[in-house]
Parts: sequence; structure tokens; C-alpha cells
Amino acid sequence: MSARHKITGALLGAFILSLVPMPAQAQGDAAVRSKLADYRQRVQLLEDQDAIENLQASYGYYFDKGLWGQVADLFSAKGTFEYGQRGVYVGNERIRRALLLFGPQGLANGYLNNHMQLQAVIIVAPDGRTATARWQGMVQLAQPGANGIWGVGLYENAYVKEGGVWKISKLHFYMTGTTDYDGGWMKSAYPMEGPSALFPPDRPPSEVYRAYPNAYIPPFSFKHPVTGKSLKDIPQPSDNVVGR
Amino acid sequence: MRAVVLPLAAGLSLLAAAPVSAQSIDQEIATLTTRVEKLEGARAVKKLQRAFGYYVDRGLWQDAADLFADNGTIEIGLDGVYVGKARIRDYLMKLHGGQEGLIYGQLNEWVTLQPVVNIAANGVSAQARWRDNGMLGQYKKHAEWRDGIYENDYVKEGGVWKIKSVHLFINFVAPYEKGWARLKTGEGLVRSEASKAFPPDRPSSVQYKSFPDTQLPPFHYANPVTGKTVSEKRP
Repeated sequence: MSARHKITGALLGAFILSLVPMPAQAQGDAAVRSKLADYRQRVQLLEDQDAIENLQASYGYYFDKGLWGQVADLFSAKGTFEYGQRGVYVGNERIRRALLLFGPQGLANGYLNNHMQLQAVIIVAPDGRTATARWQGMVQLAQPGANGIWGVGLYENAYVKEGGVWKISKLHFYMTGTTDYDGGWMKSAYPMEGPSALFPPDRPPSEVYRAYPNAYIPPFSFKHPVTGKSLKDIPQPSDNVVGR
Repeated sequence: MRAVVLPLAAGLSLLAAAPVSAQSIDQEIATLTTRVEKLEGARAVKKLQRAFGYYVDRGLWQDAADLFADNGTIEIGLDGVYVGKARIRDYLMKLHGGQEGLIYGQLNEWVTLQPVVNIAANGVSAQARWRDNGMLGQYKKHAEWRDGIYENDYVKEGGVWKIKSVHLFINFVAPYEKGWARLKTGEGLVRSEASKAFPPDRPSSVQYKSFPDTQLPPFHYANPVTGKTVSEKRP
């Protein structure tokens, strides 16, 4: 090792030490490389979370305005779309057509289709290839000649990274309550739409539940951040018809 | 001879395995630093825009204006473009009644949600789309819901992120009592009295349609999956 290299190494070591609290001992290249690999992975995880936040927010912005082609393009080839009790649509083209059930392409006069994407809990898998997220989804709706509607719901989504790009592999919107604008949620609770007869889904709903005033708990994709407990399989309100 | 050998040795050492490894560690650190700075930039931009909302909520006009770069701009609905901190401060104040802070009974929640932040490759500029969900009103007089989209620009100057432009595309301001579904064309968005009495530096930068017409504020960014510009045909 030349003197020049020793000096460079020492300077680099000092730089790394200044970035990262470590025992003040000489760091060999191998140790530095291993640290760098760790940091690269941690940075990648943060970038992934940001990319998923942008992806899901974009879903909302496109969905709001009836940009159905843009919405469908956010899904992976075998991605699934499930909204309330409408059943599951599989694949970009099926999803694009199913989205027309929410209004014409680009919407039209009198249509409001606001689907907010809020309060994210994003979990990227340790291998960095898949992720899940839960989102709060407040909804404001209008259609020509009808009263306004307020809605609430939750998203439990899954994502996949393909060729360096994050895509939606599963979008599941649990609509948990809709109410007439004038009535408000003290007086009004609409039932959910079932599977469309016009354009039936590829699969029936993956979970059957009732919306508000029933108190269904959409299962959680993420573990309790303090206790580590899974909240996937949690007791639901009893329902004679469903049989629980 | 010695003078020749030394540079040669130095040159050779650059090609040898050990120095290359040292150099690439240097490069790796530089690359990681850039990536971390972009992550930090995205968080700084979110903080900026959220702070803007919190300041405007409570009538802290000067603090809101101080978030902008010197030549920063603000454009809200049909009100036109105001340029520079002093003009932004005065406009915000006049838009809310002309006083410091709010007045008794004034509700002014500029709830700012759903960011899509994109930091430029140069790391010193950024753009973001946000959702505006405004709750506005005056106790015993009027109350409104506002729906809008921000498309804003940011710039990092001297290591500090600042707002370069705020552009709020208002889709509607709807009276709470009758809701958005009863709005008729042209009712959902009007130019403010403040803008008429205190004209902007530049006229509106875009032609607006508001609900019940369909409004689509242009996207600063391409579809994150296809990488294509969002320009779907409208009906």
C-alpha cells in the first residue's frame, strides 16, 4: 500500500466516521464497504416508500378525474382492482373497462369523483421487491341530477417492483360508509353496490362485509408497530347472514 | 529518473486494484449523499407546504410570505399572479379581510394533503402536486367547502428549500348548506374582491373551468409507471 493510498484511506475513514457514529478504530475497506452496503439498502427502502407514496397519490389524482387509462396503467400485468363489494377485476384492460362504472372517461359535467389518498402506512418488504400500504380514503361524489355523497373507506394495497418501477399489484378499497350530503351520517347510510351486471368482475368479492352503520374492521397489512402483533385475523362484528 | 518514476508510480497505482477500490468507495459515498439529499429534499418540501397551510390557517401572513423565494409567486383560482414576498403577504391579508390574524368567527382551514413530490435531478429544484380540502367560513354568516389542486414549485437556495410558486387550481367553493352537487356553472369559482381591489402583477396563467364543469389541472410529472406524459383526451 502506497503512502498516498494510506492517506486517502485515512481521509475516507475519517469522513465515514464523521457521518456515522462508530467505535473510533481503524476501518478497513471491507468494513467500510459493508457499512456502505447497509446504508445503500436503507436509502433504497426510503426511496421505495417515497415512490409508493407518489404512486398511490397519483392513483387518486387520476381516479378523481376519470383518467381511466392512466389509472389502469399503474397496475402490474396481473394486478387486481377491488372496490367495496363490486368484486375483483384482474389485469390492466379489465380494470380500465371496470373503471367506466365510476363515470365516463374524463368524467363529464356534474360528475365529482374525489377519492382522497391519506394517512399512509407503507411497509416495504426486506427484499425491496414488494410492499403493502394502508390508506385512509375519504370520498366526495356527485352525479348529474343527484344529491352529493360523502364517503369513507380504507385502502389495503399491495405493490410490486418490476424493472425498477413500483406498480400496484392489488388495490382493495374497503368502502366503509357512504352517506347523503344533506342527511349526513347521523341520518343516512347507503348500502354498497354489488357486482356489476353490465361488466361482471373476474372474481366475487374477496371479503364480504357490510358498510356503516356496521363496524367491519378491514384487516391490517402491517403488524402492530410496538407489540409486533398481527392484526390480519381479527374478530369481526357478528353477522347472521354472513355466518360469523 | 526519479522525477519520472514517481508520477508513473502514481499513475500505475490508480490502475491497480486497491486504489480503484478506494476511488469507488469515494464514488459510492458521493452517490449515496446525493440520494440522501433528495430524500431530505422531499421531506423539506412537504414541511414547507404544510407550514404554508398552517400559517395561512391562522392568519400569519408574513410568516406564510417568508416561505417564498424573493421572486416567488402565488396564484389562487381566478385571482391572477402576485410576485414577491411583500405582494404575497399583502394579497393574503386582503384576501382574508385585511387584518393580521383571523377575526372572531373566521374559519380558515387550508387542509393540504396527498403530496406527489418530485425532486429534480440537480437536487436544487422540485415540484409537487397537492390536494386542497378547504373549510372556510364566518360564524353565523357563511360556510364553505373548497376543493382544489396545487401544482407548486420549490427551489433550494443557500442550502434552504423555499417556495418558488404556489398555484392553487380551485375546482369549487361550495356553500356548506347546499353542497357541491347543487352548484351551477360559474358558481363554484369567482374572482375574489381582494383581487379586484388589489390587482395582481400578472393575469391568470391558465383558463379555468370549475365544477360542475370538469377541471383537470395539468400534471408536472409523467405517469410514474409508463413514464408518459399525462395527456388523455377529454370528452
